[in-house]
Amino acid sequence: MEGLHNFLKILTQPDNVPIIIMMVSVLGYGWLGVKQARRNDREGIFEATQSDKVQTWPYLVKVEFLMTIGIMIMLTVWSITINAPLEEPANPTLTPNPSKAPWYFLGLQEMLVYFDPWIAGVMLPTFILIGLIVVPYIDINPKGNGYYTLKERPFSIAVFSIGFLILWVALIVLGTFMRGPGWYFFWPWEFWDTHRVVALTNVDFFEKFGIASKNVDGSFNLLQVLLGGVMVISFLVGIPMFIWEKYKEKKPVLREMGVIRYAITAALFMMMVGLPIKMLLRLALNIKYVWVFGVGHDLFFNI
Amino acid sequence: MAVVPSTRPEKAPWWNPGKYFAVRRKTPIELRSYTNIYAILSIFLFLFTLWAVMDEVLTRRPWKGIQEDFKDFKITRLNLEIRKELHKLNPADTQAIHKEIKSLQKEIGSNAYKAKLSKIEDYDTKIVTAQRDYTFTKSLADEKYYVLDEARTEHSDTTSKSKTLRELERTMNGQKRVVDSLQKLRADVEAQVVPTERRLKEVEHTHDSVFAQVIVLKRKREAAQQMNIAVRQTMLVNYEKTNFNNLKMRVDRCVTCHLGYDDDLFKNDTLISTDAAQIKAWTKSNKYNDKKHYTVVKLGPNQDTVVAKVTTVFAMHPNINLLIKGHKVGEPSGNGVLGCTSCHGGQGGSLVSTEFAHGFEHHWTEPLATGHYVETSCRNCHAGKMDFEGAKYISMGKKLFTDFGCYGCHNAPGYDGMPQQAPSLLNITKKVTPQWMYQWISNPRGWAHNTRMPNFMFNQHEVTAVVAYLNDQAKTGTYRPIATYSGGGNAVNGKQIFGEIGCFGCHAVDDYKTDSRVKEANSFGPDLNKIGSKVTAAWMFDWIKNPKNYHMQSRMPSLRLSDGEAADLTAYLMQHTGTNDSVSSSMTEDINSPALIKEGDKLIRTYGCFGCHEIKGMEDEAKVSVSLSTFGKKTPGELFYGNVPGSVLGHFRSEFKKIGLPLAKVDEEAIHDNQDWYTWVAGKMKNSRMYQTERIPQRMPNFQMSDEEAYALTVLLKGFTGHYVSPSYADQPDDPTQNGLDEGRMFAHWNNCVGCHQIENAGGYVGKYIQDAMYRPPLLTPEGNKVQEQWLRNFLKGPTPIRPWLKIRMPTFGFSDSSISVATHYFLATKARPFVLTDYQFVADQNLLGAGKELFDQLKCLSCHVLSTAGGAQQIAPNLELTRHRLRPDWVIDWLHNPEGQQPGTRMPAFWGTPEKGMASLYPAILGGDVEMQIRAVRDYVYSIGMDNLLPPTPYATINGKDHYVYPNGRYDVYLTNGSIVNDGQGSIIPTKPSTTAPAGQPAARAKPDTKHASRAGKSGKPTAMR
Repeated sequence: MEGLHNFLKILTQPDNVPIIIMMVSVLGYGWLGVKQARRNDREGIFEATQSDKVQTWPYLVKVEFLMTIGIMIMLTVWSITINAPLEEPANPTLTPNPSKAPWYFLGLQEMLVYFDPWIAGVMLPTFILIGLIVVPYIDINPKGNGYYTLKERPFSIAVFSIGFLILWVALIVLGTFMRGPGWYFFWPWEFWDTHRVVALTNVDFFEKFGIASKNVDGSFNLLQVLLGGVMVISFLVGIPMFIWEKYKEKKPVLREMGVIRYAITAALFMMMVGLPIKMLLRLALNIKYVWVFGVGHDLFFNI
Repeated sequence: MAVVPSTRPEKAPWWNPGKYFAVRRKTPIELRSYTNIYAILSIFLFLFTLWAVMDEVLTRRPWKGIQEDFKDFKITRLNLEIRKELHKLNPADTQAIHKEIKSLQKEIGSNAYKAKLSKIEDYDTKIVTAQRDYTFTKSLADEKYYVLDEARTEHSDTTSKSKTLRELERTMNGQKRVVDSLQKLRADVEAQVVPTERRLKEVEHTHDSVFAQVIVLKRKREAAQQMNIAVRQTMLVNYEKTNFNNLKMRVDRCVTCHLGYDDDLFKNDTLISTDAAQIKAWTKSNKYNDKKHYTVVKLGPNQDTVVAKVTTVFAMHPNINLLIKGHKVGEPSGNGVLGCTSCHGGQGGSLVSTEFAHGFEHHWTEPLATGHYVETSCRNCHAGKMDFEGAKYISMGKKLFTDFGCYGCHNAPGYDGMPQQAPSLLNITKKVTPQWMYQWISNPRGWAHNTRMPNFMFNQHEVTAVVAYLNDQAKTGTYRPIATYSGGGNAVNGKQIFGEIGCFGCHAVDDYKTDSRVKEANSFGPDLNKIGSKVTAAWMFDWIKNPKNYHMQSRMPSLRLSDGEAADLTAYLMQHTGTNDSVSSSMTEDINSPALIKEGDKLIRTYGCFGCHEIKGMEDEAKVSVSLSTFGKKTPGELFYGNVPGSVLGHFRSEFKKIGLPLAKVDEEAIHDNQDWYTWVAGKMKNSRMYQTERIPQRMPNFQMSDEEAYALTVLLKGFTGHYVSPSYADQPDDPTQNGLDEGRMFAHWNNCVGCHQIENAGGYVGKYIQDAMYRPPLLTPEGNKVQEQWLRNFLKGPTPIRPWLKIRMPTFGFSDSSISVATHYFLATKARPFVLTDYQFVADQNLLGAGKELFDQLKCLSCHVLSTAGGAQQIAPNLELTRHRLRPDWVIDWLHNPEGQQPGTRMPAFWGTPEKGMASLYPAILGGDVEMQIRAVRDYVYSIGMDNLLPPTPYATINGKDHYVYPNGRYDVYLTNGSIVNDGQGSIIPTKPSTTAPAGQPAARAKPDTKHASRAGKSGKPTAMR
């Protein structure tokens, strides 16, 4: 009961209002998009039947002007009813607990739970940017321009749904409402207790099979490095290669893409699905790393 | 491709939205009308803009309503005052005045009077015209005369010219007469008017003086009516630092609402109105009626008189002199000018709501400190102070923190380098038995009800282990008694000695009871009621003879006891036996077992016994517990509450509230399960192991504090915030007077000087047991003005009797030179005197010595005082031979003026009357009956006693227009014509030239301070070095 009361308090904090709005609008627009796409797939493309194209001026600008007034009303009411979410003066000797990034980066912060900082904070964001940049070059499907469809672009829509809706939006929601003091996971009915103790029992993947990650003297266990390397590389490279080899004859789309486009797409995709896989391994099986490797004392390559 | 319908579908009614939008969807975009949507949105935008303005101007500015209310209240309050003031006046008088003013005004207003005034005006006009005519004619005459004169010079014909001139002169005279007669007429009429006007002025003047108070009040009312509705704020520039160490300004706007804070019309609970209709109107008022600023009370036998009284928001500050004026609150910003939040906390800049302004918003780190917690902020500026006037609990907390020896285990600001609080245990076995130690450590308060030794809650085995270690480490102790007790002694005599020499100044026994746990008065030393079962007689005998022999750092002084006295006292004290009833079983284990000793070693190191006691082998141990330097700022998240449920914490809150010492208010929204700072500390003070769990051991012993003690410590601890206040606002840390006071107060507390003596009008607790004020130890409040530093030093080193009739003894404390400096500095600082080397070589005025001797004989000074050190028990006043080296010359003047004022209860008569009842001399013949001169004469005579060779006589000088006595050492006094004498200290003096005429040894006559070039009329004839 107390936990729920606490959850309600967190939910209604002025800070979290944009996140609530974001949730509602993402779900609403998602639903709207899917609805229209399904209608198009079922009944033929509706947009193609429409010929009543009208001039931007005045027909669109008129509506936009009205919407501007609407937004102004909304912002006025918001600014009157909700006080600015100011907190205590910043104090270099006292870190707030939990210490959270701005809400739009909470997905990135969540990744830090599962990966080393240089992967979660540097490598993965870089690949997200590169991936977004190369989308026009690797997407050779001409369909779906100017109308909604699921049937004609199943792969693209699946990637978007995993990448944006789950890995970005859902992680923001998780980070805002379910990460409490100590960045521990709290269910909505649990009170955010500062003194909570959670057992730390994570082990590396191969330790589950009795293969230690490091030797007694602190050096890396070569067997583990070898096995982990094989596993990671076969995930990132082996699986796409296998699919290429097996389906390049049967699936014309692969041939159309060509090997380079396919390689880039596959690498980005495997990295993307790697994240939820790692999350699952951590949450369900307490796996810390699948591959522990490094050079010297500073350069680690733990995945 | 859809076909664009050429016609617009039928319009649907807007009150049926389903249909309306269905139709609308079918309408082509070009044909859709947006008028309605635009209209609705525009109306909403307009309304919400209005709302925004309202919110900005009214909702978020509640202080405007409060100020309106204050204005109302102030005007009503002033009306009440005016009515009261009018009531005081004699109605007959005031009516007469009003009547006369009315009649005079009526007369002035009458037509006849007005006619006279207009007549005067008439005459004035005529006079001006006539005067001008006359002036013009005169001017013409002058011109003609010039022409005539010219003609005369040129010897031309002058007849006609002189004729014209003559004519003009005639006209002129005629005109002059007209003017004169007009003026006379005017004066006649004016004479009829003037007395009335003069009378009116007189009556009005009388009116103003009779109604003076009323007029002042009415002016105040007028000012109140014109009061601006505006934000009022104080800015403390560079007052404090941010968390990033940058200087920061603080802005306080508290007085925007608390307008009556310095207005004595609004003393708390003052009546503001008795007018029932007015009060009803306030209650209905829309200005700020969700919060009433007054309480409505019903008075009278039938409860029918309704009155409204001021409550907090407008009430005047309860301690306006010390806390408002003393802290320069409300002055324009500048050095040392403080605002409200410096002491009270709260969000000084906020005006949005009471909760925000008071800082009850969980992100605001300094909410309003309610109740006595306002005292916590005293420490921010007065870090070293021991006693705070009007701040009972922080003063008590500071004393308890010292006396409980908290600093033995915790680092705390202001307690660095303090000596250990409790006795040395190096030779403990020479004093007590292991069995007694066992009894004691098991439950200290079971043995002595008010001891400060805490209970460590050891089990039987642990206590035995600690005793084993202490017993073992004492085997190498070096203590050997100096004085040997050979038995005997008379307990009855001992009891008498105990009561006479002042042992009860520090110790409680028999009739001298005590409850306090603050180390002060007779709870300073241990309670001696069970001492006979604790220590051995041999140890006791040596201890009271030579306290420093057993424990070098002991605060127990030597009372210079003879062997006989010491034996009697020992016999008396050893009679007092008792047991620790709460500890039933005794030690069962062998305390010499090495395993047990080792265990004891570990326990002592863990629990930090060495924080307070000197123990062998523990000299280099660090303090065992956490530093408290910023403890007051800890958040609930940083405190460990163990398994203590919120209900128990809440219980502390309600219990403290019940005894009238409520814990400070907190922002309930931010607090979970009563887990706030105050409940944590209150719980810890009451039960130090409360938050212990299976996994988290706690070691703080239980001090078994009373609620009040626990509360006082919460107040002190809350103040340990490490808050930085700029030096220009804080107590000057390098102010020598302040340092002298701070160190001195600590010294006086540490050595229990205040047990016997009253210093700074506090202390002197032995007075309770000594009925006759004459037999009490002397008051030391005037000490800084009274004695010479060198004498004080010698006296503290080895007291010599001043007042042989006193039975109570000044002990020999064996103070170090630095301690004596602290004491001397302290006494001087209490009188704002600098701690500097002063030369007391006093030069008596030879002219006064004769008169002084005569007065000295006439007043029969020697019937009480003596003039030799060999004063017997019959002596009832101090030896005057000592005066010269003991007392400050200027103080003796004060003393002779008013002995009772300096030392209440003194037997010294006030020979010259008292300043309150008027001063007069009994001997008008001597020195012309001049009281000041007679007092000086007696003083000078007393100072000349025992001096074989008087120094050269005093010359006079006139310096800055005043007569001066100048002493050879350059010091001087000022003798003012009104008879008072002031010491000018280091005032400016005009450099003087040597006078060549002053013959050696001849005093300059007092009656002739005729030269501005005073000289030192000494034998050398050299110029006086004056500063």
